[in-house]
Amino acid sequence: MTKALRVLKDAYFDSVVLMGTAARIKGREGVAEAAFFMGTPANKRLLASVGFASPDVDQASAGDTLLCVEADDAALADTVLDEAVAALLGKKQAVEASAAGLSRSRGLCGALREAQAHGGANLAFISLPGRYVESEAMRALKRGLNVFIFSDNVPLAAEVRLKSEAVARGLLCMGPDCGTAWIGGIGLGFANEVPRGRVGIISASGTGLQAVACLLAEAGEGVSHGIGVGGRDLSLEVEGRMTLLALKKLQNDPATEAIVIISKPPAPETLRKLERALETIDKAVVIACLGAPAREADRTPWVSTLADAVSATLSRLRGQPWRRPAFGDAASVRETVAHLGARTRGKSLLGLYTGGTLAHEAELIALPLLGEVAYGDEAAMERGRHCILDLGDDQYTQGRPHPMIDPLPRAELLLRAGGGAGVVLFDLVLGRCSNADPAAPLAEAMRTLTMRLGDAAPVFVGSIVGTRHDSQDAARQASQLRGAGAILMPDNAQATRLAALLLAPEEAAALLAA
Amino acid sequence: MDTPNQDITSSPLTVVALGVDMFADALAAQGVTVIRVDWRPPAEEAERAYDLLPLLED
Repeated sequence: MTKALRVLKDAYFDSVVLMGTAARIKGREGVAEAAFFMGTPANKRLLASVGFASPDVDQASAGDTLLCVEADDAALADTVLDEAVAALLGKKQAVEASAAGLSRSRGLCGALREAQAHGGANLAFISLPGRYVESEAMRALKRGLNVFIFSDNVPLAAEVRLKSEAVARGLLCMGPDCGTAWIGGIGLGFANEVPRGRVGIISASGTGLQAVACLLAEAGEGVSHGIGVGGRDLSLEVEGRMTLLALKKLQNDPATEAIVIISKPPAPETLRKLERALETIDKAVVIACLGAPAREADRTPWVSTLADAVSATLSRLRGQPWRRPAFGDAASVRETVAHLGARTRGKSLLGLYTGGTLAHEAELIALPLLGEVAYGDEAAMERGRHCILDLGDDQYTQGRPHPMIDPLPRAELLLRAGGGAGVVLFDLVLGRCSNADPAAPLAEAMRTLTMRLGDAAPVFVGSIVGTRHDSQDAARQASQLRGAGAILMPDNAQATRLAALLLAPEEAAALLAA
Repeated sequence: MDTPNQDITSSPLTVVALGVDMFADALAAQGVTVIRVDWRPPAEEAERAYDLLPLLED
């Protein structure tokens, strides 16, 4: 094997382009590794630690791009590096030729001057390495822009400073680590095609926000605004600054008739602030707080699943009683369990998720039904214990695209490790910026396992977060998965309950009586 | 610098994008005006100044 390095001087490419190009090169026969990085000090140390130390690496600056490959021989390494350079430069030329064009300035201020020709900018969308976010976001806020921060690895203290500045100016600071938002019908980040409507959503979770928005769309409702606040907003330190501001904005928004808040359990003092703020809201509010006990107060119900948040909201909007059976179609579930239960009973659960909130929701539902679930623990999976993995977690995405962008690693993991499970539980998240056909590799892996193992193959149970108007077309994705033998449920909570019933029918029997 | 329409819940978006192109592409595909910044990280010797400047700006 040969290691080879190419340095592109003064050439910056965003992380998605770098990781996507590296993933394609790594897929070439004879290539063992491909890693493309900015020449930051941290990345240079990392490269040195894995055998790429050289004077060229030492002299590289943060504005340079380092392309590293390990291949069968030097000639192949050179060839794939040439291909990588051509691909990256081609992509840059395409962007420069696009209608939106490239600001002549390398800085925010120059871009804002250019924006004056369009009436001025009002939002900065920031998806930079976390190290550089505070500086750019603070500059944007001080110039009166709202900010959407997709980046993670932003220090907590920086988030507090940014949100304090934003609140003082009445501006939204969505994030850090905000994957999704809808503002006035425009989707930001990973967003689905959902109609505008009368439900406002405030969410600490990107995929949670997507799931609720898609379930509302399926029920014939729409989203006024879906405001992402980042996963730490309700922490002790951040004190719910953005959640509280977003609540005020939705209270004052004439298009919003009901509000859904999606979060993890707040810090106690933040909870008190939230409860005081809710007293000033005269619109219907439902809180989906995954991990907190459900409270069915008339005024503001706290529910424990995303689907319950949707059904509670619909009941309030439509003046109907709130019914929440464990399954929308219990008869079909009974039939499925009768047909497949002998094959799955007593075996293990393997959850393979791309959305962290959906994985967490599955864990919370499965745990009381199955008695134990190892979350994020591959060793448990290998020992045949119930296990749920969030493949979007940092441990799986260092230097690699998120599984919503690249579905191949999940399919490969399923092939490698799924054969021992009784039920494989999964999500499929569609929408802008997600992979064009995420069902295809997953369905292929399901078919391969089934052919290999026959009746000993796992049962595949999942749900799709998406709509028929997404570019991936939820109906087409569903057809592929069903064609491979998967059982698709209307939402993640029902999928998880079905998985539990198949594995432990006696323990989960009460579900069918509910 | 005045930025009209700061309340984005009641005004059309005009976006300055810093970072990953696919997000800017997605916004442009929805008809949003997007000005993309050709962002580069600061030189290592300028990083400290880069961090401090916004704190000094009004």
